[in-house]
Amino acid sequence: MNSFYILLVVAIYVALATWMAYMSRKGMGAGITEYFLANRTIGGFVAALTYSATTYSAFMMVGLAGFTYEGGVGALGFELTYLSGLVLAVFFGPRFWLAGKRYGYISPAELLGDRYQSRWVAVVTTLVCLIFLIPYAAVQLMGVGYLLGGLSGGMIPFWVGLVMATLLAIIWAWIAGLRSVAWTDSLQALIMLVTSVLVLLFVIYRYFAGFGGFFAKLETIYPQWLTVPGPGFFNLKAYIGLTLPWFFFCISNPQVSQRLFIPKSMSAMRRMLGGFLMFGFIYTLVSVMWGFSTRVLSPDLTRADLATPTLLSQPIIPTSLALIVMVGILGAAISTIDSILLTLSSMFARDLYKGFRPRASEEMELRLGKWVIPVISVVAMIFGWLRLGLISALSVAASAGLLMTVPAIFGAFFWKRGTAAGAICSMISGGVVTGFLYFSRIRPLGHWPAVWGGLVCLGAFIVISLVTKPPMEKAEEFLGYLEDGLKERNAL
Amino acid sequence: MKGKRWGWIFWFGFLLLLDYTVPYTVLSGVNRVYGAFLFWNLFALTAIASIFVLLWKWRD
Repeated sequence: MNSFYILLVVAIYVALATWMAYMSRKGMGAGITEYFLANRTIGGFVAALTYSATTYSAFMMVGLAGFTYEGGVGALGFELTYLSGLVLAVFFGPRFWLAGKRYGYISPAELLGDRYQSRWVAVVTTLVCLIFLIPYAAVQLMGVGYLLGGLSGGMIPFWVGLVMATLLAIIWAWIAGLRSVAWTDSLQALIMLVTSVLVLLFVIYRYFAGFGGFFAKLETIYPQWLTVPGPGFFNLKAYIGLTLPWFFFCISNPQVSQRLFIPKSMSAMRRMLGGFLMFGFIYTLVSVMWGFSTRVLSPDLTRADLATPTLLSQPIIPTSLALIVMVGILGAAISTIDSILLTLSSMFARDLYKGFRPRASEEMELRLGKWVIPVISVVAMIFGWLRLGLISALSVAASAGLLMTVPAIFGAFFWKRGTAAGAICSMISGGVVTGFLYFSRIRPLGHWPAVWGGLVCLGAFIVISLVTKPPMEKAEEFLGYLEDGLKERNAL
Repeated sequence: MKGKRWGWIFWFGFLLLLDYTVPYTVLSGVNRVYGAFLFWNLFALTAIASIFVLLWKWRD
């Protein structure tokens, strides 16, 4: 594909999204809650789109399509298991929202720190998120680099996509904080969904004369791809290892759980989660079908994550359509990374800086938070530049690391006996075990790092909590308030 | 409220159990679209429908 057209379409998209980001400043107030949470006043429709765009990244169209290409239908089960994990948001969403409104939390780490009455819980949570989310942000940047490079036939170097995505994420997060992120996310989510569906329909009807023909061909040529373990990639241990961290994604990833603070009402949260579920189901099916289509059309790829660029380079796909889809994938990547940047910077300002300087002014806290955005971006960019391993494997490693915050989150809402020492030890021990197993590539008994890290983390949380003193007064007050609030709103 | 909560937890636990067992046992030899592909779609739709039931009970 001609690199001039690629750059032209990217320029139009950048101009449109930047205009939206500026427009979102209208009516914007002052203060840190306004900047990082849009003052908790986001409506259901925008909340659903920003939730979708933040959750679904370049991983879907590049990584999940690649997983399907390599491993078959197991990729569908893997991603739909993640989607079913939204049931956790039904339990945790109202709790986060109620607690956020009452205690003024702006980050999930702050919530944990206050609930366990220890600033160190917030510090350790923030550090775990920084350590594991930087690789996750880096894979988004890599996705853009691969995509533009693949579509232009190498004319646009990998680093150009990487640097461009970094700059855009910084700008869109910087302009109006969550407002600009939410509005640009909404635009990008719509582009992501519409364009991906269009390409799928185009491929299915032009190449296979409809879905019947497509599935008949798949069953004939690649029947194994319709079973698990199928071609071998999705054996049961791999499936458990992959799905375990992803099932808890909606509470373990702070850029997603922070969105539980932003709806203006319970109705808005209902629309946010309901809208996301519909978006997610369609987007998952489309991504998986892309992978299957490429398997049939181009079976000899050397790397699975080339599946999507290869599909878009098929001669039958009109250049104009491929260009629009490219924008959709670009949007998926950038909408995730700018949300990560914003969340990490809010955690840096509130949980690291303010945690140790309680008398610091809100203005200073906000200024620091804003300046952390470009710093974290550059670190993620350098990580992406190193190009470590398969894009999707890196992404999953990040989720496995963040899984280590889950026992402490469960404890905060459901176990009065949970303690700060238990929470801190669980995150550190689980994070170290997971990181070590990923780094050394050791898989005891064939199980993935998330399984061992998760077991160590859970065990540490329970045992250490039982032998240390819980902040019982805070636990009673916090959980009592939530129980009353939940009853009033008829939430579980 | 607590009884209802546990009821839903058991229901979702049951769904998840099916998610991990059915495709790897009874459907592992069914290399057709109506095998694991259809199963996981139905699993997800059931989970989504159940979540919608819970969401629509919420009050402002």
